[in-house]
Formats: sequence, structure tokens, C-alpha cells
Amino acid sequence: MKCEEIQELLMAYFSGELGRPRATLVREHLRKCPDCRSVALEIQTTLALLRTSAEGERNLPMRLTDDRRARLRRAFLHPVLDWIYQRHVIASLLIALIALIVLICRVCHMQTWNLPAEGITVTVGTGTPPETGPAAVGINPQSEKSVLNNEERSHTREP
Amino acid sequence: MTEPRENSQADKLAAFEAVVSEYEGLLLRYSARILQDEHAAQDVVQETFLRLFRNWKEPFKPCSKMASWLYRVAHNCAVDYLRRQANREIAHVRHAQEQPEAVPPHRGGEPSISEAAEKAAQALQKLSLRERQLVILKVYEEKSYKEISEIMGLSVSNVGYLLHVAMKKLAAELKRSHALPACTGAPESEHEM
Repeated sequence: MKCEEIQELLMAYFSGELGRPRATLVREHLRKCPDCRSVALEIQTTLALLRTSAEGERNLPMRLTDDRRARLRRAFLHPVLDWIYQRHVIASLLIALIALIVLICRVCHMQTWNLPAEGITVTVGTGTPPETGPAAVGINPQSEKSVLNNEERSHTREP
Repeated sequence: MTEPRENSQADKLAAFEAVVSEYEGLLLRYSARILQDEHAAQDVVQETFLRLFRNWKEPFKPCSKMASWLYRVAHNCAVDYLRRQANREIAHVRHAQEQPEAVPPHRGGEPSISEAAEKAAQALQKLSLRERQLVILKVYEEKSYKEISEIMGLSVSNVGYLLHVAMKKLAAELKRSHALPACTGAPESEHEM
């Protein structure tokens, strides 16, 4: 194996991840080659320094802060509520939009039913036509008659 | 009627506690090492867990697959954070680049162990993000090549090569800063070679 190839294996060699045959190969090469031995020593020293620097990092955080943990718990247990909570502006706008649409629909609906009702006064069985008169609002007198007939029939059926 | 529901909530809470307790420390240390900022690391880890809750489809309990997934997502979140910071503070960065870096004068002789270790930590920050991630995963987190390849989405041989390059760069940087003694090439006591 060439020196370059051996040097590429050094990290794996030091971390014990090379198989036995390749580890033997690297060991043998290092015994014979001073250049590769020098590179190996550099890598070993660098590794040792990095590990020493890690030992000094005692103040690294080990736990999430309480508020972040609470936020995570909420997100995990109640994802929908959390979505709303996190996007309260969008959620408020959505709710307002839905309320507006419902309101508009209701107003339109009421107007649709109120418009013809203004002109029609349905009188059943009084005999006197209203002031506007059925002809004036386009109600067929025949239909009124038939309504009356139906009513009469229903009365006659009663015991 | 409400008992099964309460049980299911209790189970969910237990699963949550198990996963968060298992990985929060690891992810916080990893993110803090990459970002060099503890508060940012807290944000990154929170976001990582949120993504886990939203996207994890398998049984919710600690496993090696989940660990790899979490490291990968934490790294992506850290990269996103650094990008946002870079965009936000571009003016500050320019300003900092204009200022000459304050380098303590070299006092001559061999540096003490802690001083050399500090230089090693500083040299690590000079590597590219990917190289830094590799070294952190290998040296600090003590992950195997296979685990690193899963976390980073690289082949095992590629991990080996990139790690070798990163370590050479680190060694060169340490030599430049006199933290690494000049090697003469014939160490007899080296490792169990």
C-alpha cells in the first residue's frame, strides 16, 4: 500500500475501526516508514488535544430550559393547540375571516328571503282580498282557491 | 370512559420524556460545539424535537435510527441558523473582517497542555462546517464511521477520506500556531502501533 493510502486509514486505525488484516498492514507500514509515523504522531497529538479541550467544556448545557421543555411537551401532546398558539396571528386572521364569511352568508340569506315577503300578504279564508290584491303581486287566484279547497278537504276528513 | 384516554396521554407523556431525556444532552452539546453559542443550541435542539414530533412515523422510542435522524436534523437546523445569522449580521461580519484579529503574541517555547488544547479548539472552528461536523461526531461524540455516514448521508469510505483531510488541516493549523511540536518522525512510544 502507498503512504497516502496508509495515512487515509490512520483515523480508522486509531479508533479501532479497521479490521484485523488492515490494522496489521498499517502497523507494519508504520514500523518501516518514518514519514507515515510522523503523520500518525501528528494525528494522535491532535486527537489528544481535541479531547483535552473537550474536558474543559464542563459548562456545556445538558438539559433544555424549562420553558423550551414545556413548549415541546405542549407540541407533542396537543399539536393542533400548539400550531394555533405559535401562529396566533394567522389563527386569529383565519377565525376573523371565517366569521366574516359566515356573517356575509347570513346577511345574503336573510335578504333573499326578505325581498319577496315585503310584497306578499297571504290571507287564507277571509274572503276579502288585501289592498294590493293577488293580481297586483302576481298570485294566481286559482292557486288560492286550490289552497282553500285543500283546507276544506282536510276539514271534511276529520271525524 | 375517560380512563383509556388518560392512559394514552400518560403513555404519550412517558414516550416524550424518554426521548427528550435520552437525546437532549447529546444534541445540546453537539449543537453548542457547532454553533459556539449555548442559546442558539437550545433553539436548534427545540426545533429538532419539534420536527421529530411532526415527522417521525415509527414507534416513538429511542433507537439508533432515531439518534441518527436527530443528529442529521440538528445539523440541518444549525446550518439554517448560521445562514440566518449570516444574512442578519452581514454588516457585523464585514466590520469584524475589517478589524485585525487579536492574536496573542507567541511567547516562545512549548505551550502548556491547556493552552495547546485551547488552540486545538480554535483551530477546529476554522474548518469548514462539514469538516467540523465530521471531527465533532468522530472525536467528541465518538460515533463510528457507519453512524457518521448515516448522519451525514455519505458513504463510509467518503467519511474516512474527509475525516483524514480534516485532521490533516487541523494538524497543519496547530503546527502553524506552535501548538503541535515539530515531529521528527521516529516516535517509539506512539500508541499501540
